[in-house]
Amino acid sequence: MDEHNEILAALVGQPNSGKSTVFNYLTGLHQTVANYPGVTVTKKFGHYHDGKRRIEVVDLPGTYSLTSYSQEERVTRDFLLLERPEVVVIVIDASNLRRHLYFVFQLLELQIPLVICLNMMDIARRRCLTIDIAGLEKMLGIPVIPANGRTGEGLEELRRQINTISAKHDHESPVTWKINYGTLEPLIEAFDTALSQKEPLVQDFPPRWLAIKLLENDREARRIIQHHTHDKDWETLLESCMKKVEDYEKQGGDSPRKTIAASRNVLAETIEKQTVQRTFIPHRNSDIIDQFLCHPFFGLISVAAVMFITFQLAFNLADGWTWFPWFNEEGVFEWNTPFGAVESIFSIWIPLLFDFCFHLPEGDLHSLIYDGVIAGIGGVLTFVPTIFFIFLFISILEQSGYIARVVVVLDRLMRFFGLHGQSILPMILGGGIVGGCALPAVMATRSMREQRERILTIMVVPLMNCGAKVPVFALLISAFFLEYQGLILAAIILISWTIALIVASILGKLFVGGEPSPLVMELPTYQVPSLRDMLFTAGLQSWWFVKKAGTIILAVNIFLWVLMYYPRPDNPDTDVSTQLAGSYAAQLGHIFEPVSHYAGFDWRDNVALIGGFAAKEVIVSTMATMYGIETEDENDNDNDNNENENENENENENNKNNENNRNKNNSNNNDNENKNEYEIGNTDQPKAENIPKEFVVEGKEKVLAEEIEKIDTEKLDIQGKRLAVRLRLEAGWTPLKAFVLMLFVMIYNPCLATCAVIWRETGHIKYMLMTMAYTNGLALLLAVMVYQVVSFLTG
Amino acid sequence: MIANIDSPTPETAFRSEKVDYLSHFSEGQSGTIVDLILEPELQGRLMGMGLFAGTRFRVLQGGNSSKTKSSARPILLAIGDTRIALGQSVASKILVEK
Repeated sequence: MDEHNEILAALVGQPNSGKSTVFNYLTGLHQTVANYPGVTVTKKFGHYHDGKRRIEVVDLPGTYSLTSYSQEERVTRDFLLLERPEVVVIVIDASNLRRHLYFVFQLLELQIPLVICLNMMDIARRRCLTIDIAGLEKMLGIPVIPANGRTGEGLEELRRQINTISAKHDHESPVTWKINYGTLEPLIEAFDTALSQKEPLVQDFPPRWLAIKLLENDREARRIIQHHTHDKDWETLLESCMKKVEDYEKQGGDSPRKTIAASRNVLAETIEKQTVQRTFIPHRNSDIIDQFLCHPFFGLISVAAVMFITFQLAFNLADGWTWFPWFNEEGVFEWNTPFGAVESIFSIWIPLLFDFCFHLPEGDLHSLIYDGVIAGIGGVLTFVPTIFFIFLFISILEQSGYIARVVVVLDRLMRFFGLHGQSILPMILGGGIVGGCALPAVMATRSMREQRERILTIMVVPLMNCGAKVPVFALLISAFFLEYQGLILAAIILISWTIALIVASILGKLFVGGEPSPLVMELPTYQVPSLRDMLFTAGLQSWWFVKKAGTIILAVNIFLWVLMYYPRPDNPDTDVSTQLAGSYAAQLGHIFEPVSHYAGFDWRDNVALIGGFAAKEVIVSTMATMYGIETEDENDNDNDNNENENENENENENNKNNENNRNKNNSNNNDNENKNEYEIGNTDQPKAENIPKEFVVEGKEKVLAEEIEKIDTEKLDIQGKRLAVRLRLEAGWTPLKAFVLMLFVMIYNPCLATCAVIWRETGHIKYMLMTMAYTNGLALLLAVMVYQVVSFLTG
Repeated sequence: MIANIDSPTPETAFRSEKVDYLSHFSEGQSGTIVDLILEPELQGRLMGMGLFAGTRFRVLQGGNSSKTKSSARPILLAIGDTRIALGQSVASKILVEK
């Protein structure tokens, strides 16, 4: 037998067996994720070195059994049978031996080289269980290694065993262990013998295992046999099989499947009795805690509290509290947020470094590198602090076992809409209470085991009001609903949840298909999370995001930048807003205008919305540019002159239109006293009318300042506040239009970074395209409906 | 090695009056599972969690409380050292015996 330089090892185990912890210990940071082809199941793999050898470890999905009914089970089984790993490590929970042995038997029958990692020895000890390891090894015929993944106990021994087993691995069946299925044995024997004669089949699949699977009425087993035997023998074989099964059932037996399961269970019980001794049964604290945390009322309150705290901590640590030591633009040490720190690297330090090294002249290349590439990479990496902290807390929720309780408490509510109890976490993180981020929220669905519900959750998470939509809402609220801020905000939250839940139930029925998975959930014992695993999860998720989604996001951002920045105007002194008005984006804006005007949006609003594809907060700055509002630092004289001329022309025209508009609004008001937007429109009018026409040219700062001061929100910078005041004076801008725009921004296309992550997380571009299609369609539909209906009703 | 076991077939053909659906059990009650009348996938999953014909269990929470006639709350079971939450749709397809 020649020495392998690379060994393939697989980790299998039931959920909650601590498999991931073992995997993390073995592979350290050398791990990556992908999707198994054709399914949404995530494939985790990594490697470590043992002397000269490189050991590839694949962490197969956790499953409760090895039938072929779910994607995870099929993936696991196919991997074990077709990839033929040299060593298969089965991680089992020492404190729950009987149950896990039942699973071990199913693997033993696959006749693969197995080693048992008897994990969670700490819990077994806490429960006063003594396990006879040697006895267990003897009865099962495979090595058993007591371990504790959280402390690393026994895992070096596991590595040694992996080495030993792979060294002696040969192509003969290493395991000859059998369960006696009693009355079924004659049947199994008969099939076994018949199948053994099929030469190509036997190479890949143990005949006895196939025989048992046939008796269990396993679809996949039948398919395998059909696939490998090209004669008609198999049909006769299958017929005789079915006939014998019928006979067996007629003789008063249960279905063979039940007999097989029961035999395994009885054997597991027997082995457990012989190897496990319990000296004393301690009281279970977990049950006492569950009395409270799974309680229909108190449980709901604790879910709300835990979600709120998780949300606050994760987002404030990433981009709220200034606790991160950093240097400001003058190079002076100060406290910043991690988000701010990453942002400053790309907005200040790297451009400085480039200036220092290359002395690029102003122009296309300069702009491509600074505004396209550096800003684009910055745009990707600013997500990292958020992802890191979100996964740090998700890791706590999962490791502690709390997430299972969330599912129990919320099951009925979420199921009603075709979602899963676990969907609540991504929905909150994605902006369920305003603020948050859809991108890490989509990533946070990864721990959901039910694939149908997971896809649905991913597709509705972008409807929540993430932090990037907040500046847009702040702008429009400041412009038209200043006195009704709270009310409008509450309405926004309510509307987005309503839409998300309705969309979830419709999508679930129409597109994703399948029956909602019923609730069957193990409640793991509460455990103190290990800091090591928390940092691992958070760090790896951040790294995976950069690696998997980073390049797509960067490419898309550069593409959007080209849309907004080209074609370049002939006159190099052209100001930004004139340039943008001639850009490809503006041309697109004009193209969409015939459709969008039904929702009240003109081409300039369309350009802003196109900008929002990069990130929704870009809508505010794009709109500001479109309406010729500059930021304070760009306030140089050349631009000012140009712009004022422009605005002057526009303004005369606009004011005329505004006059008409207001008259319209006044008449509307009489009919619709309850319509908030019109009441506000009304209160706003005198203010707007008091502003002298000339304000744009002279004394602009003064008048604006008064209005702007009334806008008291941290969510808008000075540019945004100016824009808000400006919008009140624009033709065509009514509270109705502002409301419709908010509705549109809430629903329409998720930012492209999120789209990239949807693609990556589901492993299918189709789910990304479906999400993009329905969000844009629904946004346009609702916007047009609301705009047209309200316009019609109000004359 | 061959492990010998006696015939494990549970007697499901004969169902006495004591047999009821799990969804009708209430908090604190104990019983034995008689049969899982579920599609194969769920059956496999539940067996993987340790629910077999003949398994003893105790209802920790949920279930049919005496005050309300029926409750759609998930039912929490203790089976040995395992704790499992089952939705009503599943619990109503599990036959149990006191």
